[in-house]
Amino acid sequence: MNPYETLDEIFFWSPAVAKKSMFDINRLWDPKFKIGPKMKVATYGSCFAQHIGRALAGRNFNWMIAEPAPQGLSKDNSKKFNYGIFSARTGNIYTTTLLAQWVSWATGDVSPPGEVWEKGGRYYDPFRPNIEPNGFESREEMKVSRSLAVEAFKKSILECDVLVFTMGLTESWFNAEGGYEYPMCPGTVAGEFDEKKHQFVNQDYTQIRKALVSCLRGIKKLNPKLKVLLTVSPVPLTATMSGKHVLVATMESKSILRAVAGSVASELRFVDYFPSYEIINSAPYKGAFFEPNMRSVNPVGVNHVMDQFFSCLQDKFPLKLPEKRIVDAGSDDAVCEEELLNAFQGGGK
Amino acid sequence: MNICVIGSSHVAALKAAWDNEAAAWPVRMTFFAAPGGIASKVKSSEGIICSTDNRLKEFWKKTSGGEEKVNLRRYDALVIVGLQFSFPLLRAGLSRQVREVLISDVFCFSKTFSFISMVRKSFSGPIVVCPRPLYPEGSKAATREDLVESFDDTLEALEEEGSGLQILFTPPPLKALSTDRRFTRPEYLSGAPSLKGGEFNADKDFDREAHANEAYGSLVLREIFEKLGISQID
Repeated sequence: MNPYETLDEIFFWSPAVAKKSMFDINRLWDPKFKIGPKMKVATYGSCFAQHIGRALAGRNFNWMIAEPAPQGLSKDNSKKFNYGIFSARTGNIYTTTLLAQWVSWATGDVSPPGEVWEKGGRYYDPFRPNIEPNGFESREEMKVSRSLAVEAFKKSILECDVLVFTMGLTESWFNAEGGYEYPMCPGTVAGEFDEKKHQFVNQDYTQIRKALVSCLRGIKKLNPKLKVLLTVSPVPLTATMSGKHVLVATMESKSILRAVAGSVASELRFVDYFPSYEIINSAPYKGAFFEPNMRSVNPVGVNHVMDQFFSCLQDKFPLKLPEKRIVDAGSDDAVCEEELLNAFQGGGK
Repeated sequence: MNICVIGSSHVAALKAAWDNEAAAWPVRMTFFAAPGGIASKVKSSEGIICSTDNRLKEFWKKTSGGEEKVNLRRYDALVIVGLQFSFPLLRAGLSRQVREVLISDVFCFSKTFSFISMVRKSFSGPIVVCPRPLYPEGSKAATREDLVESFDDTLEALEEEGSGLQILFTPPPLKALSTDRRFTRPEYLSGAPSLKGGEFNADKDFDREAHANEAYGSLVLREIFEKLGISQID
């Protein structure tokens, strides 16, 4: 008798994967804690996090929107102005250090920098550069809007039961003088790139893990009942500054993020990891869940990920789940600032 | 002047006020009211507004005193009441872009404005639009917008957006609102008349959350006449 003999079939590749249709591969996640339909769930992070929020709402779960669209704004315009994309109008939070930055603003430990980007007489928020399609009409309007987003972010952290954070990138841009981070390289959406001031940092495992643990512990102090669910975005990089081929850079980045997520989920009892990255990206799925550009995740993939999410929850914590509503799971309508980098491909080369 | 009032259950407050004040005004008013869910299920052709919905026809017959169709040629002005149109409350901190888009959305997607667009093709007289009352303080529905500002700017933006259809707006009457202009005062909601079964019933305390009373209707009546340039009989 050896220890493998008593293992469940999910621990063996052949019965769990090779002998199954990819759509029948199941029990991929063993949830640490219950996420019930009434629990408030806040979602932030990279582009893929948007699908989680929408899927939760689509199943009549309590997706927390702390900064709702004003009453009367149409669905299309709500999306255009980034309402109901994440739990507050933060825009994409791609890195763990950016998440930590938002938390520091929410706690009041640090004030948001005064930097404002101007382009064509309009004003852009360096930390949410695409939050309004044509920027703001004044610096003051931009700052008021950001302060509302910070307040809403804080409210969501204080009041939610579960925080879902989707880790997206290791590559980041910092203001070397101010020591703060931008979600996008200055000069892409707006702003002006200054090589003396703007510093590229491809964060390594240690830096990312340290920022995440410290940030999550800080959040836990604010809201002791909080649980955190980490995911890693399966969406490849649009562009890389690493000097490596974008495919190699993508695999390296995602591998680091995946390793950090797993390690932190193992260490902290209130943190879990959901394998959306594996479901979309691993070999048995043959890339079938990507659009022809091999980057965007298609609606079938999004639905499959979310079906796995809810079925694993249901297996572990049998719940009377609300009926699924029909939701548009289209991947192409995810709001993703990073894709704007596509506009710069081949420029000057 | 002959005025046609078309609307949802919110017409009841106006009708209750009109019943007491008709003698004071040099106009004739005919009411066509039906619940909001069916009130816009109509077609319009060559000045006749009609519906294939029997329930709506029944409501119109009862509320107008016998008419199942609206013949717009008989009227000098049209007043739209409620019809699921709410005065948009803009919370503080919204950018100008969002405000503009919001007002535009209110126009594009509300049943009121598709109704007016349809009617406008065959009616050239003034059209006055009266929104449903604001919710009272403490109402669950009222808490969605927490900090309201720029009431006047909102009205101005609505009038600008509606200028293509030559719409005149009457905002919720200021006298009936809380000082912050966010809520309807409770005294204008208690004793709201209903439109149950097509009968204007002023004896019932219908719905203090969504519907206003005769006193509110009286204020709206004055706003409408002011927009139409009508003065009381001396």
